[in-house]
Amino acid sequence: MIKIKFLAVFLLVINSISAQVDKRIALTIPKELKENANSVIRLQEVVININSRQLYTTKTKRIVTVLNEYGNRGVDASEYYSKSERIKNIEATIYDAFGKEIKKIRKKDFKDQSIADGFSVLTDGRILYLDFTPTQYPYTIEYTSEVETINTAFLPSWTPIERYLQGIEHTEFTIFYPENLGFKYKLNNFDGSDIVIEELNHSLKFIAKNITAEKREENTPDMSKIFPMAKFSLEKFNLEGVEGTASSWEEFGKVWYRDLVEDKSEISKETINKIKELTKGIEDPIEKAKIVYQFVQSKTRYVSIQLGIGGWKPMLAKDVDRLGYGDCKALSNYTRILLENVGVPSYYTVIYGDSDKRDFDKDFVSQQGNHVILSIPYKNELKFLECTSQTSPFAYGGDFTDDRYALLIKPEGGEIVKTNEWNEKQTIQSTNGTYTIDENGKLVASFTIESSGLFYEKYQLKSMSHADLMDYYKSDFSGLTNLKITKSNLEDNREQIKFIEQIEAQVENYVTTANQSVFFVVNAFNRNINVPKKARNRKHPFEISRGFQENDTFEINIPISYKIDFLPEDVLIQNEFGLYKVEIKKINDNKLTFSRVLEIKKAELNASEFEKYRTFRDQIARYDNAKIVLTK
Amino acid sequence: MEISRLKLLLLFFCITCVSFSQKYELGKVTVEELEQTFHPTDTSAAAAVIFKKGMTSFRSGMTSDWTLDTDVSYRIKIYKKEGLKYADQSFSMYVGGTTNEKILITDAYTFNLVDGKIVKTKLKSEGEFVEKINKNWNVKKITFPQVKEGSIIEFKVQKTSPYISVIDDFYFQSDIPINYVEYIVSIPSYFKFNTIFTGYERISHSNQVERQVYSASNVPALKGEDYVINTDNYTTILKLELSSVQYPGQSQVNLSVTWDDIVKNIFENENFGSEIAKNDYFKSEIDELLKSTTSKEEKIIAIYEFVKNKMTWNNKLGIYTSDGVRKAFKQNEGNVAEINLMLISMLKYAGIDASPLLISTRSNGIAVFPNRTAYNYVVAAVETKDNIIFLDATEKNLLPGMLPLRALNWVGRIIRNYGSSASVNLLNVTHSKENNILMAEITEEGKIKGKYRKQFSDYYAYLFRNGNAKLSKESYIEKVEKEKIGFEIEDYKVENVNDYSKNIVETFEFYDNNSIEVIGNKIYVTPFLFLTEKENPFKAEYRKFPVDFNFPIKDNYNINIKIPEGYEVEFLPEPISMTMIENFGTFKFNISNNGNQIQVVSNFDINTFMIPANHYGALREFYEMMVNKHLEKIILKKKS
Repeated sequence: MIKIKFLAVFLLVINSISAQVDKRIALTIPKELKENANSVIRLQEVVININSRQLYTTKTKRIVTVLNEYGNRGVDASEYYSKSERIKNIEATIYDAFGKEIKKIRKKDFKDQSIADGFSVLTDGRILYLDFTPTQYPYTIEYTSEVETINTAFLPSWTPIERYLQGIEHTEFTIFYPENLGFKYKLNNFDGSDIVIEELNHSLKFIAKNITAEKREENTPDMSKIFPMAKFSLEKFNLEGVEGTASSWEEFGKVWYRDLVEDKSEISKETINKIKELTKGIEDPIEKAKIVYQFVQSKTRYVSIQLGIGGWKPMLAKDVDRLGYGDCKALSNYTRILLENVGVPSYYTVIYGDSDKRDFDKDFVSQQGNHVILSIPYKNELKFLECTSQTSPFAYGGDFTDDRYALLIKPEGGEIVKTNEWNEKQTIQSTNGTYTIDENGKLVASFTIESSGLFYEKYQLKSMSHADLMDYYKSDFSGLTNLKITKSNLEDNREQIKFIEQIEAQVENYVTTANQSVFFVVNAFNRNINVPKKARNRKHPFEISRGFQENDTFEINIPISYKIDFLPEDVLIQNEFGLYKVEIKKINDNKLTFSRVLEIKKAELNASEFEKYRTFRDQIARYDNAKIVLTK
Repeated sequence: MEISRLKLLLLFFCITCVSFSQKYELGKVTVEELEQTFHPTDTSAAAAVIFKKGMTSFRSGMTSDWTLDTDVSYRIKIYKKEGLKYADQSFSMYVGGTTNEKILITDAYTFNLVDGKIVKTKLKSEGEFVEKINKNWNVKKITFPQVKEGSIIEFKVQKTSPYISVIDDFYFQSDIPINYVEYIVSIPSYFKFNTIFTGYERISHSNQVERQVYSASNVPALKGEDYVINTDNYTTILKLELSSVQYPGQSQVNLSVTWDDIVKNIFENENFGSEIAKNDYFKSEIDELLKSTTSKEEKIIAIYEFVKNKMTWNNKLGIYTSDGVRKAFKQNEGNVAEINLMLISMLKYAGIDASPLLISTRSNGIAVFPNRTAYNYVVAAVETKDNIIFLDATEKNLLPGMLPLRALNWVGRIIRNYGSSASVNLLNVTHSKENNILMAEITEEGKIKGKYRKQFSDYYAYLFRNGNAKLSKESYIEKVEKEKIGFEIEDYKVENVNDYSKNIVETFEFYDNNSIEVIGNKIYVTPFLFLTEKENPFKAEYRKFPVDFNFPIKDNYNINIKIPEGYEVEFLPEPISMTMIENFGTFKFNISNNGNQIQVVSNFDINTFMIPANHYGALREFYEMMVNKHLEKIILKKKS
């Protein structure tokens, strides 16, 4: 009996010792956390303290063991600062694998750098970052910082899994908030996680432990859609000295309009008269808006300016008018005011601009977005205008702002809306033409490609130099070595949002010669041969973010001296992902027709369905590569 | 009396110069220029520099300090929307010293044609910004108002600098065409400068009283090409470097005239020569290390390995130490100079005659002319009777005798004892070798599976260790599989990644669906399987710049393919053997059939670092023939 008790006590002791393992010693990392990991977060404690509507502090303690060179980016020892954000302290200590101190880096030794992004004309944002050259791996870094900011409009969110290929031993996050500011939070993707939540009066704490490193999988949705994330916000907040409220979108938008959008500045009479004259006699608001949009496009250019509240408040419309440049906010607002002057209502619209779709979280009233566009109501729908582009057709936003939630800022209040989706019935590429194989195995083709929907983005080809255009075709018509484009006629139909390419091309040695016979790929100009890799144990769902359709028809002429030896069989595959259909018809001994349809639908699917999708793509790749054999 | 005469003379000069180049004066934009819708000789140009005029002169202040003034005026025409970016300009200035560089923007206007009339809009202070990049550098940015397609912008950048020995490089070429460019350098007779031109464009030069005038017309836009390591090497740029100073009544102070002067100058710099002289900080460690060595070779290797393993390079270049060897030694970290000067010093301490070897890295360009900024890299060199061994301890992955690719740039300069120097050829490098062995069989279902073994040496191994070897095994396999569609790898192994003295050996089993076609009763197989070169990388018909190969190579292939039961060989591609002009490269291909085995033996060598542009046609043709051979198929037929 006694023996067992003793053993139990002994075990307890061992346990408590191991629980206090020094996180600064790389050698103590549990084995399973090192698997697939370049770095491991040993311990992270973040404490947010909201002191008032005008101030909050963030204290960070972070111990990270870096296992190899690729793990250095997992250290993340840097803080931003500006006129409204102050770094109170920042410090780091580096330890070797055995926990022996190598180096201490104090605030003055951190590198100070402007966040010049090579894009903004000017920014007042700066960053202090750790510039450390590791001399050995693994090493461990202990980092502490304290930052104070006045912008309570943005509270950091908590994402325990910050990046792929990083293990996590222990991470916790605590937020203290005063009673009267309307603190609220929202948890995304917490189901199935082992996160412990401790909710007390005026504080909220999350703890997560022993999370193994995640690997990125093909076609995975954005990290924010699959990993846990806690968001926080205040109903009463401050943004660069301006007070705002966010109890409902309506109210939030009203304040935003009043403080940040409304612009009573006077645009020059000359401009007003000019647009009035241009729109004279036109009744339809959209026709008027088209003229105004074109006017703005020819008069202005996009320039990025990120200065204090300038990050939130657009430049005055009269200045845009005078200078002819502005950022997305300024150009949208300028267009809005011009439209107002010709009697067309429109709304300043805040959105996440990114070709990876990112939504406004419509169920969580808070400061969001990184881009501004303009919305014009028209017959129960909205037209969305990208005002930073000098080349985009009217109301064509491409894939930068499509199919996602955004916030309209109306004078009477905010409203969440969804932007237009491009689907497989709209995003279409049609290729039609003829190609001839001559006696020497050379292919000579003449065909037309018509692109609409998101494929219309090709309109930018028109502004390419000849050399760049040729490079583009070489990479677009992949697999065609020796391709020579002998003629390309590009037509941009902005009215119908269609782009038409008339192409004449030659490919020397298109056919593969094998003794007395030759063979060649039937589908010469549109092969979809990228197959997702086999995923041995896929964990996460996958998405096809946008649907599209491709139609190809070709008449094929083959030399008289050859006869057809082998023709690929026709194919029809139809499933939940879309459709693939190929038909090859022999018209006579020297003429064939080829037709192909590929339709892929937008989809969000479970991990288990990935293999089926992969097989589908594999079949497409195989048939797109199918060959005809001719014999002399 | 004397002074007013001089003034008059100057005035006279100014007048002649004005009347001479009136069309290149700021403010005189013409309606024709504004009406132009595309560039006359380069219709695809998004914008063009109508003129760029620079003037560098020296000013002596109240005190004896000199100031360097450089004014550059620009007139830029915007043709297309993509050219609007030229309406945002930025200029950096050094602010890390006691007196700083200053930049003033003047005469900045946008010109537009409105209803046939020229309208000009001034760039006001609201369009001018200064951004602090870090403690040493500020950037001045300007953003022009009212710029649209067709606009012309003009501005003058006036830079004043206390650093009279460093005149900014003057670019005669840009990524847009330049219609006229002129640069006047007026240097007081006290100073002598070396002039270096890079690039391929013709510049006319006239030597006038106390000033040099360089100019060029219709300089085409610089277009990048593949297989070029550093495009700046081929851009037309004027570099000026102060070589001597002689004040009235004083003797001349040479700053750099010959390589020997430059070397002496470098050697006497306190962050170079005296850093080599220090040896107290490492004595105990090196004494201990040398105890177990006897021969000279052993000592060299022991010290080299010691420094290589102890020190981590902070990725900074330069021939001078920054924190000093002593501090670097203590912190196990340093720049190139700290690490390699320390190495030299230790070798000397051990009684080995080691010398610093100065190098200009590939990104720094080629050191063709004696000048002080020519070098930015230093390694150790040990000369023997008939050999010279390079030692660079910045990377663990290097071996004695091996320079990293960044430093393999034509010639270096060795500084022997007491400052004499000599040019050293850096390119006396053996071929890097790759040995591929493939044992494959075609299965009944018409798929290929097999085993692969690849052994590679020298720079091949170096690059692998610096790149792919750092990936996790899984990510590396994924990467390889992704590059080759229809390809799968199993049982991947790699040997000697950490044993730098040995060649790297990779082995794996593979499934390859991409190199085989089963059509009807025939099978078509590409002899090189997944190692097939599918495309000629040299597609352009003409080439302006030389083609840079990183290093000479020797690739061998030994491929065995077992054909399936019931099939026989119908056709094998013809063997071939070819040599490129000047023996730049060779390609050999041999194929034979023995029972159910097909054997392919092939060699591909490139025997040079660089092929000059005049041989581009031959190179392209050579690759074309090789690729065509790679693409030919073996045909197998079902036995009847």
